[in-house]
Amino acid sequence: MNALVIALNGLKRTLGDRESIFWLFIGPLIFTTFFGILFKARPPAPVTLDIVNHDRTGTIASTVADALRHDGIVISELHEVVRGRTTLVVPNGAGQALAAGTKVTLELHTGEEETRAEGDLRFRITKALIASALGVKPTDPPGPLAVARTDLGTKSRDMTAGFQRSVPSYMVMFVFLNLLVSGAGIAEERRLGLLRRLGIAPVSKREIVTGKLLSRFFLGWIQIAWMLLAGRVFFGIQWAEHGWVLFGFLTLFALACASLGMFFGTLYKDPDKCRGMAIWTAILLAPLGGLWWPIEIVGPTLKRVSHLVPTGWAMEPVNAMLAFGAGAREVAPFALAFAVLFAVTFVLASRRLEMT
Amino acid sequence: MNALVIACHHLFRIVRSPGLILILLAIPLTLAGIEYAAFGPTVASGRLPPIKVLVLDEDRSFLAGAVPQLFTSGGPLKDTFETLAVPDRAAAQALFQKNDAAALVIVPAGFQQALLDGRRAELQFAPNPLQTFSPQIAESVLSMVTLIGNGLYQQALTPLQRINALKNSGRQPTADEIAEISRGFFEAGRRVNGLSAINNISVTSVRPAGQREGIGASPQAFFAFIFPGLVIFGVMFVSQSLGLRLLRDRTRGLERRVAMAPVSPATQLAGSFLFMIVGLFVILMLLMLVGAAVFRIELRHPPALLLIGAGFSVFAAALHLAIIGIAKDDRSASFIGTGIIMVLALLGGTFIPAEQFPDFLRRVAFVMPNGAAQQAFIDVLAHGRTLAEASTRVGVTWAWALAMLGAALVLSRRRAIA
Repeated sequence: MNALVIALNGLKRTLGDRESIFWLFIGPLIFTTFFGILFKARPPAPVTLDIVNHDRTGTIASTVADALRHDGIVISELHEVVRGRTTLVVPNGAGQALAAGTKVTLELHTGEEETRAEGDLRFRITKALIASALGVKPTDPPGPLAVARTDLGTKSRDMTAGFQRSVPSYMVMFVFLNLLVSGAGIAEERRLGLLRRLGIAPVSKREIVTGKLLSRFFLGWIQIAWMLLAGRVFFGIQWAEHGWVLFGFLTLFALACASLGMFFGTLYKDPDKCRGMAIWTAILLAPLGGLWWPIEIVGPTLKRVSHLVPTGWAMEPVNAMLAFGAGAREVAPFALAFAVLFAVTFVLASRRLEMT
Repeated sequence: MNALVIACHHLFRIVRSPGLILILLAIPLTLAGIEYAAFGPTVASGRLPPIKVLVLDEDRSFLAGAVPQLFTSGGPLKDTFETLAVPDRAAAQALFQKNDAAALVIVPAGFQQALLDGRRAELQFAPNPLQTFSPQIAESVLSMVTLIGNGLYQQALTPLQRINALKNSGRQPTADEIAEISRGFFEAGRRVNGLSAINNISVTSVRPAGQREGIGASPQAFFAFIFPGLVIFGVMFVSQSLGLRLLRDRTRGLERRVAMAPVSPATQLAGSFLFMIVGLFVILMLLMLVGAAVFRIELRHPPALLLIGAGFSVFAAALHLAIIGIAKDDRSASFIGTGIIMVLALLGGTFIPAEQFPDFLRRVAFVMPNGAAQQAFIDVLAHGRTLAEASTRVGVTWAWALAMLGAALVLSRRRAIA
């Protein structure tokens, strides 16, 4: 009972603080919105391409232009390259070289930076050239060989774009960050003598430790609930198929983070240093766990690292629950990892917590 | 003179107890290290990490067995893919969930027979919903393969139709028919000789400056793009920390005690300003030197770098002096400061260079104080532009610096009088 009173008091103090309110409710929404918009899947913008033909035969220029027009690209045929416009230059002798199977290099005059749109355009041009070499015209009837989209027979949703990615990522990041930073509260309470005063009250150390843990855990859960709700209401996120599994997993995640935060609080005397280290740790682990960018684009070493850090343990099952409707069995190993993290850090924090 | 003494005194306090500042300085360096670990190999090799494509062979035919080679057999995409055979869809799903594969290609039962019969033969493609770019690349390759496959098929259509007709008739072919079919394949072979041209076709990009200078040009270019944003981010946090120290001096009565000495409030204020500006400028330049030493960033056009660094140091110092001018206590100052830093970091392109932003956000980024300073650094360090060429962004940075300095002076003076 005393533990609960301590927890609720701690919670009340935190929720009365404007900075805490900002980082609990407003900050995550700002990040989520910003990165959700930034990485939102957009319909492809209309592509325009100028073609400058120096080849006497003109066959390559015309077949490539036909194929690209068929792909929806707006083609203009010019006599020279205009600075600032994307232009394909077909060199003299290209038609003969293609027919003879010798080397043909076409130049794509483009912007300063290599972009995805440019890569896509280069791919389409190469495809058009290959079609030209094979004598395949865009208007020819489709051949027997085809590719059809399918799924794995489970309810799967696109996870990588827009809010469907940013909301769960920043939920995990901010819960982790805030609960780690909350450890600085322990250092501050010790420095201000609040813990000493609490120590002489008729409550056991176990009750104090449990109360401190619970207040942080409640805080984590308030933020999780807020992000789940905001994700659904503001961003239309489809949360997990097995709601209770997600609930249970996030509960364990919040508990482990709260305990880790408390452990941080017992490591430092100076609350500023504790806060700095907590921020540094969270900023270090967030990208390593794949919260800032999709883990698919990093090398194999960092992919392996993502399996070893708590942020990765959280993101992998949350993604699996959201994208594939993963259930308790798939989530269990990660839940176990958080249970162990909680047990270890809670024991260490309880032993190390000094009232003075 | 007294202002200088006060500034030096503040600076010595930092030198005596540098723990927090060092932690804050570790943030940009760590982030740069992680970003390089994440993307460095890609930058160095100019290639994405190998894309794993799973293949589920339900046909178990000769053609189905060749499907993995579509991705790995040769050509420019040889090292782009790696394939793995999976026994069933459940195994594929397990690897998808671990984010360990980009896509699954299923060769359905009857694939080879359909192709030989001239019927529609579909390869099924299932992208991993956890991934974006890699499945798109795999799908593009499949579409290219389909084009080539259909092109080849078209060339050999006549002899294939003859074989099917003979098969359906149920009789033995005559020697003339066999000879005609053989001639048909021979002709088809001659026509598809053009296929050898495929390996000789290339499309190269030509950029305005005549050479590639993008983020992926080299490891040095990579850091020249990302490091300035991280340095500015770190400096903003250090600035907040220094500002909070000054605020605590006030709330703990230290300022009041100094005021008893024969030092005017204006001198005290000047000392604080000098301390913040000099401290941040030194830290910013120190980080740049670390960037040059550790990440091999070439520090081009030092006068331009010094001017940009000074401009941003003035802005950051003035911002936090203005905040402590209006804040009652360190909690309130921390709240306002952190909120402003966060918004500036997002809009200014700290985490993702603004050059990668969509147009409207990029325009916003370049008028932000940190965004302008960051881009000015990138212009100089990555694009090799001179001070004159980067003058617009240097101007934006200094305009913000002077405006904020004015605001900070007004607010701090009002606080000092109070």
